[in-house]
Amino acid sequence: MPASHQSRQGPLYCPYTPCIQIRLGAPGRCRHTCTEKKAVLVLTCEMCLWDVNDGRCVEFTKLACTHTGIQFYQFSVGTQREGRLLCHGHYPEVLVVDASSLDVLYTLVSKISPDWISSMSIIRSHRTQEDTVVAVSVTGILKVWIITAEVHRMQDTEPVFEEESKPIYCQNCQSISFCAFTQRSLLVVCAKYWRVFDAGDYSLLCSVPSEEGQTWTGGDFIAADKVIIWTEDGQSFIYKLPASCIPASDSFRIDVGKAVENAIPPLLYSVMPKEDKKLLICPPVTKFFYGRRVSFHKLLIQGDSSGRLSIWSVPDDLEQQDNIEGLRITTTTSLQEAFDKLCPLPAGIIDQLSVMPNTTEPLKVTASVYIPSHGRLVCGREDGSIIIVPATQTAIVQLLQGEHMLRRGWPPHRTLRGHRNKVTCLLYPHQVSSRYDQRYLISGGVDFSVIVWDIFSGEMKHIFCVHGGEITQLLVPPDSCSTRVQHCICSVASDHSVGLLSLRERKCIMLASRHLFPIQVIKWRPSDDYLVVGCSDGSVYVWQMDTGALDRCVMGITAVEILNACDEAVPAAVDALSHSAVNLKQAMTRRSLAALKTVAHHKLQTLATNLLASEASDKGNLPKYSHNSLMVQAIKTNVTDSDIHLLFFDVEALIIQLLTEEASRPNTALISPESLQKASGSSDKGGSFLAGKRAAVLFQQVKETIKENIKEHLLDDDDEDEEAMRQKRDESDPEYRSSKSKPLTLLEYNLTMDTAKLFMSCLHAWGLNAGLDEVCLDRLGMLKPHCPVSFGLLSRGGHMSLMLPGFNQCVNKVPSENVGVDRKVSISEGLGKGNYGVSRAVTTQHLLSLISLANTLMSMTNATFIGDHMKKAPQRYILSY
Amino acid sequence: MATAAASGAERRVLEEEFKWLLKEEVHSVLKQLQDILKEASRRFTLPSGTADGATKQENFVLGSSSTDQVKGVLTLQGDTLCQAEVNLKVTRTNQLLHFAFRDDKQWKMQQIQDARNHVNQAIYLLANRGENYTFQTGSEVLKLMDAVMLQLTRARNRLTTPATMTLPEVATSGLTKMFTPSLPADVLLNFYVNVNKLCLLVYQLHALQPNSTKNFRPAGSSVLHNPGAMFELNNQRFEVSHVHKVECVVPWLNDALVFFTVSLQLCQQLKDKISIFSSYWNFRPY
Repeated sequence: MPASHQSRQGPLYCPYTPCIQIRLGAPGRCRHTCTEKKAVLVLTCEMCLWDVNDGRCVEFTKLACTHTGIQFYQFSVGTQREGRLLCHGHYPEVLVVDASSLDVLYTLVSKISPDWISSMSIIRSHRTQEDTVVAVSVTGILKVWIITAEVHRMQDTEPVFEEESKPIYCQNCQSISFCAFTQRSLLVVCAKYWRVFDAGDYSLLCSVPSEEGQTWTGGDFIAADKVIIWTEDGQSFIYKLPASCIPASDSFRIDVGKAVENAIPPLLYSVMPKEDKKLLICPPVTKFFYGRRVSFHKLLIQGDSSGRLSIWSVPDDLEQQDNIEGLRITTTTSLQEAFDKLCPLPAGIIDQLSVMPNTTEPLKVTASVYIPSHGRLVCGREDGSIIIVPATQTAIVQLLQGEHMLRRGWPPHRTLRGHRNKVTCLLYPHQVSSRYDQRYLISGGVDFSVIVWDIFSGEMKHIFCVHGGEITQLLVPPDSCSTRVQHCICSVASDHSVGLLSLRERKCIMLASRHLFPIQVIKWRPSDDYLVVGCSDGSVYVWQMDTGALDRCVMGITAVEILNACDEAVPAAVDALSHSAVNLKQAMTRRSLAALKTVAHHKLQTLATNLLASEASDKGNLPKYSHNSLMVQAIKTNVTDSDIHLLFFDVEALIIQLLTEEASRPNTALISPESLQKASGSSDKGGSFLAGKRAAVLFQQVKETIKENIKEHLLDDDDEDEEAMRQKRDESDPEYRSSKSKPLTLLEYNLTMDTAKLFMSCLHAWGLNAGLDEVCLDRLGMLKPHCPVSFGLLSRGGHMSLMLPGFNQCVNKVPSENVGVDRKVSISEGLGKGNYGVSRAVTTQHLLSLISLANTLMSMTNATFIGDHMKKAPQRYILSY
Repeated sequence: MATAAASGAERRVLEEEFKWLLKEEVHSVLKQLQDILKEASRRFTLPSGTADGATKQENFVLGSSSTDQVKGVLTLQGDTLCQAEVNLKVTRTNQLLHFAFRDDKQWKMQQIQDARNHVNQAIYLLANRGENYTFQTGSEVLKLMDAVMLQLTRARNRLTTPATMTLPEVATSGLTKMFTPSLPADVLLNFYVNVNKLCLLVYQLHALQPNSTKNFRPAGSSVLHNPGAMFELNNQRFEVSHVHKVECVVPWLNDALVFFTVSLQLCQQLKDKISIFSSYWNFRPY
């Protein structure tokens, strides 16, 4: 499987709270009946509301308390329908949250022995306007709250107290459910037994212990006389209730008050889990759904941590069937399957360079860093080698069809070998602070070593072997540190040690070890010469950098205060992001190409002034813009997975860069100094420099809001033609070498055009208009993607969603068997219509970006992506230098 | 170091050792953890020895070494303050104020209840993986340890990091309404647990004149507000003039914290042991 490694552990679960996330995905399902599909996701104390259609985070909120359960509840006041979320968790109340604004409206409070609520159920009454909330606290006390129409209208007023409180002695209660069929009984499932209670007076009707080694995690009624109970390991069992639990029966309640341990009722069915069970990292989440509107399906749905979703259809006539075999799975799907079904398979960012002889899987990329100023992507791999490639070129190879597919060893790259095993982290310090030599690249590995490289010569400068565990993080100390520390980088290892490695002295100047717990955070207090280490257990160690002495070790409130004190200088990044998200719409509407051009002109104007003043200054100015147009960010879905790479395109930066370069090209007379002067004169305030600055600020704002991101699921190019690697490669090699040794302005042009080419090619709606496609290919030099591009969307609060394979397919659709034949058709389908039908928000962004970039390119002279131009132009420059 | 040099024989030995770790060592650590945590949990529900199982009542005298202006006598029953008496000497008027909880009122120390619940959840997680359970992979153990440590860290954090509150939150917390005689408008009270100590904060306020020239800046959330902190409640602006903090060590909270720390260290050590092997299992020869 050349590229299935991208999905090995499936979704982007946070390792600490997977159960909560999945379980709370369930309300999303309940809400499918609503007109808008929305889901609520809860991450311990953060709560997000997502638009499932768009993959957009609509709302998010953070509370100080931890939730463990959440239920959606809809009620109607007159004709108006409103949604509420009832949350419980590590706090003694039930919070009632508005489902659209996520504001806490009121709380349900216990007067008698308040304690955490372990499970809760909402009973809808169809006759009256009163609904009932039944909950069980961790100490086994049943609580009943009545929600009346008056309560709904309350907004942040007095809490609602419980109607009833009764000990039912149920420890470790997992779920409570109300019988929708008889409206007379309650099912309480605890870890080691399940019980049925009369819903009228909460008297115990029957109690059934679990078998040895089994732990129940939940259950529900599937008929008036049957219950389904599921276990921690994903099995489910259907039991027939004894007559004493069935209200229709004559012997209802005959056992009340007698010995509670009844005989185990007959097991009707065991529901088969998926056969080839993988070991799961946490118990699966199971839920029973009973369709009450259109179809009366009874469905058992289970989701697990491997990214698998299974559905069983529960038949009504259970008794008649042979119960030895058990209930077969009706349908199942998993993320891994969705990835495996993809044809072509997605590939890693440098897969064509990672093909190993004798194996089908490419080497995993285990760490990566992008160097925007050079447009280079540095990838560390699991065999210890590090590869440096031009990011746009490697992305073009992976995504787009073209001549480059035939070249071997393309894109040009450089391999650094030195680590003896997996590379775990990479750092390019010059990017963080210009005080570092721009040649230095730092890498850390599982072999406990930290290596300093010269990226231009490929030379290994130094190996630090100071840690006793694999390197987990490499950091840069802030600028205000002492001169000695300023030339250090900070390394963190899994043996809970932190080192300050001096690149200048080539030695470790401080090693802070003996922390008892893994290191979670490193902070700095340069004014006091302190290095502050926060450990995973909440303890904080303060080290003196100069002497290497441990100043103090604190816990609790002081620890929190010390960490916060280090933060004070740093502005809150989250706020800025959410702020820009709020302004997104305004920014988009205000955005016009004319405005952008004006700003670009301002920048040019300043540039021109600088050029006149001193020739050298342009070198300093030009690369400044090139930082932003493309960013490559690596993410991991799982610690054992390889990196996947996201390409973030900044359309504004790209446009500015294109226009800037257009103007600075020597033979272009498009923008004369006069016109520049005019442009600046037309802007309201006199000082052109100031205007430019203001524009830049404005730009920054707009840029943030429409930061496009594209994630690539790339194809491994198998049919590599041996003969096809012609002299082109030799041609390109010197070009590359020169680009490497001279990362100068004129080569930035190449990078900008490459970025634009990649961007336009990925976003164009291929397959919608054959004529247009042809023009794009032949005349404009755009390239057709050879595999579907997966897009993502940044939304409120900096939340990001990424499209996974199968996002545009129906689950039940059987994939056609002759995929090979259909290949081309499916690609164009997946590309054109696929991209434009999935998410309105994504499509809007794409169209706006496409139009603005296309307009910019049209206004430029000689702007084409045709290979000819791309090849000749840089060569000419090389010659002229 | 996990290198290509690990020979076949070495790997076999390592695999044996790992098997032993999963089969024997893990269970012995889990047993040890359970014992410690049960001991910790017992501290939270000190039974009184009588048959009714009611929790013992303990009296604590809260004082401070630096000042004797405030004295408090609190009666703690498990996680509940069932009686409280506060004496406040107002220096300005040389007046002695005395308040006590009304008979029908109790105050729940939420920090203690939360800590107890977290420990019980940790015990439940451990009990679920009893001696009969066979761990098949190291990651299974790591996952369990992560879950247990999360509960223990939260339990400890609940005690070591009291909630930060704004002054209006303190004023409207309900605690002010529990006393007889009722608290004067210029006195605020707050109880909390800080590490192993039961703390009582008494704020003396003075109302700011509406036309006051003082620059009004409402104070944010904090555990302890210093004199000079300002806030607004029901359109009336107040400033804290005096703060008195008195505290008393609760011995069993101290025990519980020690147990938490020891357990957390045991968990981490087991995790570290397992992780050492993982670098070998990931290894593919090149």
